[in-house]
Amino acid sequence: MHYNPWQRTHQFLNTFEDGSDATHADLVAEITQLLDGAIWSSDTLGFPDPSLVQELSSYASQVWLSDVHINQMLNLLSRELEDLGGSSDCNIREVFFADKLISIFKDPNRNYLTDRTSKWIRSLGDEFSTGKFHALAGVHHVNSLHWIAYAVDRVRKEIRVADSLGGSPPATLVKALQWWAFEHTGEKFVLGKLEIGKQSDSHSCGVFAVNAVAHFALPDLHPLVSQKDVALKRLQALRDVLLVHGQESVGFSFFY
Amino acid sequence: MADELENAPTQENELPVEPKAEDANTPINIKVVSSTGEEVFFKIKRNTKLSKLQLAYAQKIGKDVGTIRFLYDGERIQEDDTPQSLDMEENDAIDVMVEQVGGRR
Repeated sequence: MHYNPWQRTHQFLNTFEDGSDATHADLVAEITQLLDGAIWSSDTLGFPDPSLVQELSSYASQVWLSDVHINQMLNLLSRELEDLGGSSDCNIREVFFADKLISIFKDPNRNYLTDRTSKWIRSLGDEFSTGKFHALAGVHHVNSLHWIAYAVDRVRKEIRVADSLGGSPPATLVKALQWWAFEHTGEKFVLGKLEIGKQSDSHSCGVFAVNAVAHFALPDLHPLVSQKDVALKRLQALRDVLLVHGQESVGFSFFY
Repeated sequence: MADELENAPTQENELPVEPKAEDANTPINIKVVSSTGEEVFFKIKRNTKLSKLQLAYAQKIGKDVGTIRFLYDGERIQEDDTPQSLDMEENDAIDVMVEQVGGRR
C-alpha cells in the first residue's frame, strides 16, 4: 500500500537527477536522504493538519495540491516570518480562515459579535484593528478546483487578490474581506491587485498562490516564481516539510 | 449528503465513553457545523476523544474521515483532544471543512 507513492516519488526525483542543473541535483540528493529517514506510514509531524508522510509525495509530482499541502507551505512561511521577527507585519492564515469568514458573511442570521464559533475570527479582527499586524494574507479555494491568493492590506486599505491564471477576483471573497475589515477598522478597503507569477500549466496554481503570499510578506526573500521554476519550488517545499518533520520525530536520523 | 443533514438538523448522536471523574462523565451537547451551515448534534462525555465524534460524523455524511477537517476555535482538532481538554462548553460548535484540491481554473 505504501510502496507505490514511495516508488513514484523516487522515480520523479530521478528525472531531476538526470540532466538537471546543480541546484536541482543537490536538492534531490537532500530530499532522498530525508525520505530514507522518514517512515512513510507515520504522521507528518510539526504541522497542525494531521496527515501521513506518504501524502508528501504529491510535492514530487504534478498532482494537484490539497489544503493540507497549502497549509503546510503557509505554515513554513509563518515560521520564516517569526524567525525574521516580521510576524507583526503580516499574519499568514491557513485556508480555513477565508472559508469561515465567507460562511459568517453569507449567514442571513449572522450574529458576528456574539457567536461563539466566530470568536477566533473576531480576535484576529481585534488584533488587526489595534495594529498587532498590518496585513493578513492567505490562500483561498475557488470553483472547487483552483487556488488563489489574497491579502488584506491595512496600509493601502486594499483587499488584494491574485489569480495565477488571470481570473477575476471572486466577489464573495472580496465582499467578505471588505466587510470584515470594515467591521474592525471602520475603514473602507477597496479592491487592489496582488502580484503573482503567470501559470501556464494545469496543476501549479497552489504553488503560485503560496508564492504570491510569500512575495507579499517578504518580497526580497521570495521573488515571484516563474513557470519554469515551479517544480523546483515544489521540491523545496517537500524538503522544508521533511526537515520540520525530522526535527519533530524521535529517532529520525540526518546524514550530513 | 447535504440533503441528509438538512433533513436532520437536530438529530442527536450519543457516543460511548470510558467513565472517569464525575464532571468528566457529564455529557455535553456539541454541534458540528458544515461550511454551508448544516448542523449535526452530538451528545458526548467530556472525557471522550473527539476522534470518535469525527468518525461518527464522517459515517453519518458518508465520507472518509480523512477527507474532512474538524476545527475548534480555528484550530485543527488533534487525535487525543477531548471536550474537556479543549474547555468546550455546552452547545459549543465544531466547524467542518471538506478536503480541497486545486491545480487550475
